[in-house]
Amino acid sequence: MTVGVVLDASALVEYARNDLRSLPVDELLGEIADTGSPIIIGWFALDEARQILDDQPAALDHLEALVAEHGVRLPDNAMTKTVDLVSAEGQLSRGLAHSMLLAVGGRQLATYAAATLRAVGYDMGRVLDLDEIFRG
Amino acid sequence: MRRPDIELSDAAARYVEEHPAVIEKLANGIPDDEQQQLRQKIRAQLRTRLHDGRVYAESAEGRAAGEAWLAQFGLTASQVR
Repeated sequence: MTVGVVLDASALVEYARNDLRSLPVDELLGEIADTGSPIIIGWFALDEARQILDDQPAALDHLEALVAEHGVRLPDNAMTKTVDLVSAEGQLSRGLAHSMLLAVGGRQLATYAAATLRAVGYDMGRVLDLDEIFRG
Repeated sequence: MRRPDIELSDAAARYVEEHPAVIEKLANGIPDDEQQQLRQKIRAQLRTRLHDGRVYAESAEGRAAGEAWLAQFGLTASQVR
């Protein structure tokens, strides 16, 4: 079983902005690198992050450097249909739906949107709530 | 269209109101030495959470929870790897 951490759009955006909220993601990347586990970035989450950062060129550069290092998981037709289904049923963005699907099966989902995941009944045992670090 | 993954939920908005010091640091940045201390604290927390999360995800309980969540969409874990 493959172990790794999925970064959703919220984690990608905060990492790219390189401010206080990027620290958990930055340290997560360092910790993951030390263990040799993969970082998983779904295509839909990346697309959303790019849209959010559209007017922030420095942040976009930072994001693209991360993608160049770790790659992006492209959805096939079947996955795209599943993403659309989960997105519609949960009233979620496609990026978050794709990230949720990628995290199932031995991975963890790093996110700043844990409250949304909890509200739609996602398995919180595999969620790495990045906001919780600032509340601890 | 509402964007739940990037817009503040009611709970998050309450957090903003209740933790002005954190919000101020987010806006103004923090000194290098304080940042290093914060990074160490964050790394320690992450190390624990990653370990606990990995143990859970690879446990029978975690696998079953994942399969059950996928099953509602007619999927198995092997289909979304």
